[in-house]
Amino acid sequence: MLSAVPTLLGITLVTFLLLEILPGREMALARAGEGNLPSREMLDRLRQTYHLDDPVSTRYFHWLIRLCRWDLGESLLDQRPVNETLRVTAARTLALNLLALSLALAIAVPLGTRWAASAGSRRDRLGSVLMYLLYAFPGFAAALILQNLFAVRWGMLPLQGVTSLPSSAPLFSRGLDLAAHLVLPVVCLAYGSLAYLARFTRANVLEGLHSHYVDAARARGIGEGDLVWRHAFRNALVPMVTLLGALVPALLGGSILIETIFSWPGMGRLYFESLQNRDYPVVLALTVVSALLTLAGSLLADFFYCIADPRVEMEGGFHDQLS
Amino acid sequence: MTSSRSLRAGGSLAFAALGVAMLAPLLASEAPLLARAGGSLCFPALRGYPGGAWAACSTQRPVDWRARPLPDRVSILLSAPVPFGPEATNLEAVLLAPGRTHYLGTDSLGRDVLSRVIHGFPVALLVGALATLISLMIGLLAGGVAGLARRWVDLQLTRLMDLVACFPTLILALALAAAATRPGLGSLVAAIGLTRWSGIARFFRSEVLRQKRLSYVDAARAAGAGRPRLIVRHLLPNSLAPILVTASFSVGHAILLESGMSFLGVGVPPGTASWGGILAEAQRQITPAWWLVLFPSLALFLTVLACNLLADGVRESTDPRLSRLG
Repeated sequence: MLSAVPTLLGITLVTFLLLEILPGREMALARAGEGNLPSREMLDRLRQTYHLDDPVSTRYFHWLIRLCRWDLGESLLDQRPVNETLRVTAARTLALNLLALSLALAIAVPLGTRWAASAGSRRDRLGSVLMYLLYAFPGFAAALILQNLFAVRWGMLPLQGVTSLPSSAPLFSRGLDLAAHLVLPVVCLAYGSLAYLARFTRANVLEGLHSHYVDAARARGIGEGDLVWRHAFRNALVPMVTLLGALVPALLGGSILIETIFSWPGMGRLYFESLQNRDYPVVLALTVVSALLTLAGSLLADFFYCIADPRVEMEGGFHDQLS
Repeated sequence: MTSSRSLRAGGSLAFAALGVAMLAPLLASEAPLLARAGGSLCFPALRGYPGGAWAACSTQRPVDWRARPLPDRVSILLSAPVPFGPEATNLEAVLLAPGRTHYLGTDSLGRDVLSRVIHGFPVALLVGALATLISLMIGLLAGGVAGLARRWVDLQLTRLMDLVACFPTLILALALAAAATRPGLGSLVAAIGLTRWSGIARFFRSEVLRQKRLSYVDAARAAGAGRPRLIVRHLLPNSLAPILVTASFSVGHAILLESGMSFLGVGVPPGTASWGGILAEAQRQITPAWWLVLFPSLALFLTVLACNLLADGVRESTDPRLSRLG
């Protein structure tokens, strides 16, 4: 657990240096004003806030101290506190990702386990090939195709955004509307990890089914169904937990494309737009937060790994089990 | 899937993709393959290759092959299978559905989609291969050094790998691409290569740690091999198969990343044909143009599939333990 502290510091340092080499700082500052040219006071204020006249190291420490107090500064574009924007967008992205992950798990785990139980059968082989093909089909291209079919061609689902009703509409219909807007982004985001999860589940359950303890259980007269679900599947859960931690960065990265395609105002889209607009405080905050989320994901995965498998002790690099 | 089958399928797919990439200037070009100008033969389509200037027709002015009628004493003997260049716009044929002249339709500038998909192959494969090469070089170096060096160096390097792995790939690649002073294909390759090395480094480190205990390493050490020699002459060749597997997967992932970035508009320079760029073009249309979505997606899918199949094929044929699990 303690090994996370240098990583934590490293994350902030790398992020800061990365943003330091981004070109266009002066342009971004110049645009921060109301009209075409920023006022002298405005520039002076920004210089002071971001310590632009100090050397890099001083700036980094100032930023780090403010980060520790969770003071993320304000957006150069709309002068709103980054903190506030982050809270709103992160909630939307997390909602999207949690729903997508649940959907992917709900489909992939039973499917993969059943395929493993009937390994070698025609259904299993067909499923394996299908998942293999699905795995190679890029998620954002699938998202474009689904959007084209369901939203544009058949008009069954809303094209993009979060809601299309005014806030005065009754709560129930607003909820339905939100759900309709969620369908496509959630399905497309789930699609990205579905094939991977199913293949992973199948391989792990299969490995369990081939091991001695299952042979022993079978010899004791335990039925095939119990063998699969009670024994092989439960042991396959251990590597699955680790995988879920490793999925966090993939999901966050995938959110950028999916949120851009469906105009979902979450962290991913905000990150990309802020990067395009050179909105430094926002980019800094989002990069650090996404790295922290990834770190938290892998730490949590390690934690559950230790609970699920008491033989594993908490020591060494926290990524050792991932590699 | 049996080992030989996925290896064969992946190999033939990859071979086909490579072939299309290499022959792209000949397959889709407004310049004909063979033409006659002033009594002598010339091969204008070859100009699409670097160093192909000699193949141009020896006319006073460069021939505009789309002009009708053609200049005097110039005639086309054999035109390219797809007689449209990837950047040739035609405002009279905008957003055409697939048909007789444009087999896969046209985009909003009247550019031929098939030609752009074909010319997307060299871009995707080049970016994928070069980016993987960069990540391989950094990853193998870092992993090899970490596996053999003293505990302190190993710890620091492992921390660095963990650190890089903490940043979601697309987020880091986007930031790096934005940081490039001269945006272009080179910085795109660097941005993708620099984000994807940590996985390779971790894998090679564990491979080195595993092999370090084998007796052949002891033998090589006893014979006086130093650390660099140990890595280059012994550990690398002995882990060639898993490295090939990783590299093949990595090419597929790098191509996916490139297309994603091009889709967002920060990948290959605008104008250059790329699958992600065509998909972005599709997203901008108000009227649905399914051909702009389907065909680049298929090209992307088949290329990534080829990489995955190749990787699995190599893995299955070199690791007999896996064939049992099917």
